[in-house]
Amino acid sequence: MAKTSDKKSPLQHHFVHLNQQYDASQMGMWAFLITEILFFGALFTAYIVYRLMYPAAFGAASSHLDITLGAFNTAVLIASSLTMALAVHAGHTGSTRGIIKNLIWTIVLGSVFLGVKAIEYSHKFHEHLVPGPSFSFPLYPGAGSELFFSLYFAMTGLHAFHMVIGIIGLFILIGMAAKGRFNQEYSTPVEMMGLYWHFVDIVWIFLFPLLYLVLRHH
Amino acid sequence: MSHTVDSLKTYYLIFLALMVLTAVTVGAAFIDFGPLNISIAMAIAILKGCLVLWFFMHVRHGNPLLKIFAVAGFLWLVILVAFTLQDYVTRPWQDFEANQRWIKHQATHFEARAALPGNASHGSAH
Amino acid sequence: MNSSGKKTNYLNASHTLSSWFLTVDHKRIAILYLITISIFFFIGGLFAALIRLELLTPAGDLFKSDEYNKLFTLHGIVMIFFFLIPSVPAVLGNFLIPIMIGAKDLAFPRINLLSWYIYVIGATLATLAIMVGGVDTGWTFYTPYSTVYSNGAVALTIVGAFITGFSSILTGLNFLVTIHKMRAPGMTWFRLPLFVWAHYATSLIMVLATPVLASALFLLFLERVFHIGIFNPALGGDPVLFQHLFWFYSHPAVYIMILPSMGVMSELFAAFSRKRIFGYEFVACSSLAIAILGFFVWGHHMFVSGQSMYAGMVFSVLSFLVAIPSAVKAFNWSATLYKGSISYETPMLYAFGFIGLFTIGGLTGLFLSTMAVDVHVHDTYFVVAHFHYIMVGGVLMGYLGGLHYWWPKITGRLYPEAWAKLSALLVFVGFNLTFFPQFLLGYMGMPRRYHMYPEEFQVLNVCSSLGASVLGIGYFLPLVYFLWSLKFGKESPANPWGAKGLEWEIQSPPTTHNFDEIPVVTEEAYAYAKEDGKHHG
Repeated sequence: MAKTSDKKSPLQHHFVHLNQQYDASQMGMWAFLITEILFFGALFTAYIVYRLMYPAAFGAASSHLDITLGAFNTAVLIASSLTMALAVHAGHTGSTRGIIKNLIWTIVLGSVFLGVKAIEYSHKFHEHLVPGPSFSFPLYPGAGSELFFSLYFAMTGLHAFHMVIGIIGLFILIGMAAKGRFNQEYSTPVEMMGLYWHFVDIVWIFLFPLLYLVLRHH
Repeated sequence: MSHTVDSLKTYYLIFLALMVLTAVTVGAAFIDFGPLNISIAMAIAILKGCLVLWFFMHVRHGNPLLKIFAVAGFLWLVILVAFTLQDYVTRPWQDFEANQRWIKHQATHFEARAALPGNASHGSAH
Repeated sequence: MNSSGKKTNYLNASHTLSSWFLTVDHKRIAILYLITISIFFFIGGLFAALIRLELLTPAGDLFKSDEYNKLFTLHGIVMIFFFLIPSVPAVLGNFLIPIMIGAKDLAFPRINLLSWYIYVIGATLATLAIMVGGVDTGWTFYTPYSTVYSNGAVALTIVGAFITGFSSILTGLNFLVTIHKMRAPGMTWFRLPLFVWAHYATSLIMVLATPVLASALFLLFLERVFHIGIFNPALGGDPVLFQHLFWFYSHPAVYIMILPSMGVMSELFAAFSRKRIFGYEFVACSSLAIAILGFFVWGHHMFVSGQSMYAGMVFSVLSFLVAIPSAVKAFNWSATLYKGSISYETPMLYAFGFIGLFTIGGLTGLFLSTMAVDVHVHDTYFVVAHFHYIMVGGVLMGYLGGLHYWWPKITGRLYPEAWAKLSALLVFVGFNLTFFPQFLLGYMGMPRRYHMYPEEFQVLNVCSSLGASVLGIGYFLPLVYFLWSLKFGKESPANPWGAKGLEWEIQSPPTTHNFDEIPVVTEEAYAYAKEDGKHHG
């Protein structure tokens, strides 16, 4: 019902022209990203408050994270942002092949990120660093270290969840591209997914120094 | 619909810049700059975030309204953080050591009162 | 474009079940919302009735104290999350915004339908929580009680509230984009009806504040279910942090509730005074001012929570500022009446009621934002009375006034005017009888959330319970005559009130696509003729 009967045109019935529809999608996506900023923002607020309260505990706990894996993952995610940007670029130049190729790369890099994250999680699990009754962190037994790991799991977990959603979205886009839905005039979904993916990248850009680099120089 | 199409070179350059900045932030973390460490890490993160927003997310091609939208979320996050922190940084009892001293002082105060003759039965009721 | 005879409209365009449950027509979705939120209004009302019944006598003889805890909690949760927040925006806003700006639908019709389904899922989960044991934390879910100690179905309720939040976010996002991008040619910002301005401001809050509540509830869920301590003082966490995050949403949420009703008021005062709203630009901008200032005052809910004295003072001073744009509205509505040709139809009675009750609610809000006074009346019935004057006296009067005003447009039928006036009167009298005594009770020191009280409070409590039954009848009457009017009401012309606005220029009820041709707007909002606005070009 939302589509016009003309199958070729992506213009929906209640818009006057494609530009208006594009503007609406773009603005809607940015409004959605605003909500995402504030959704993660509450967690960042909690992080800042507790880091101010327990600087030593946060330093000790943070130094226990695997900085090599963290830095590697940062690089992987930035690379996936590049391939995503290239996919959007391919959309604008009307290259369906380019879209599909770059989206596949983005999925691969995103999956590598999640795989590394899973390895990190399993390490934490074996070291009893998952908050809860069995938590123990002998390096800093005082208050605050468990809060750090609570926030670590909440923030990275939420971030990973967003990546999983993103990867599902990328698969859907590949399907749409394979059906020939995109051309030089219309590749809005690819562009919107690009905004989402870059946003998730930005979240990680802040998570990485806040979680991994608190007190490395000691 | 016409999009402003960037050259591929722009994307590769930004990618390179982001990689370099990542290396710099990791390196800087291992050098002791005192309280400046966190500022350096955050400055680099903000710079990286801005590069992604400006180039990858095409904010630079957006109309003024889109730019306002791009800023609004971060601005509101600043409000949330700033107005929450104005509570925490002005709490005298958040100073853990001072807090301990205060508790100890109160405890000795009550013990001293309890020790007074005639006060023994209810001196430590608090 | 006036209706003549039996025309197809959005209601009779199709009759299958799927044409309702899979509709993307904003007007049908508004009807779906109308039905669901009415159900929750009566559920929440039932809890309120039980509370007032218990408080008839000083002894706690009807319910045990933990049952009473669940009653007031569920009353709060149902009324706030499932009735007040969606009420005006999701029903009237959904129906009217596209029509008022000259569009065929909202920008994202399918997301609009999705937001209704999300609302239904969230509300169903919370209802399930009521059935499996209820919640006793208060609607505020304060930690550590909610995470460590409470035995109720807290997790399920939180999930319900969390999910419903996304419905609110999607509605706000949809409105924002619609108002920005879907306006008809000639519909400039300062030609928008003030109802649309108010919803724009509301949508900003929905988008900017709701995610923080979602996040706070997410952390609370982690702590309660997986024992991932964030706010737990045993681990060094700070329960007050939860309050900060909670009120960052929940104070602006009050403006999510009241701003749309203020938008309704602007429409009513213009239509029934036959005048352009006095100081239109000021009223429009005051909505934005309320929305923005509302983000800087949340700490006034936490004066006695252990927040720092400095923070308390800052939040207190800033809270006073919200009074300025609110007063701008109240004064400008009053000034609109001056030399207007006022008629006293039912919606206007609600509008007068709104102004009186909202003023009392707003002014007592100033008492509460004064720190020294708040310490005295905090968590007493004074607070309960204050926010009911805003939320019930304000929001609900606006909702009912708006529903009466646009009912002929929504259904194409007229309701019986005499009965409607009676119900408006009952609501006003019943409301004051219920809640004014609570100001006195609170000032004398009766705390909220207790099912027993000293005997000297009984007279006022009986007054309050008596008022509640009058109020109940006042709310029940519209349900009866609205339903009656669907079958037996006279058919409404396109513009029964002789009012201005695009919604009155199309047939009642509108067609599925609202306009055959997108209209071109050439005049200001409320362009009533100087002498008599009954007839317009």
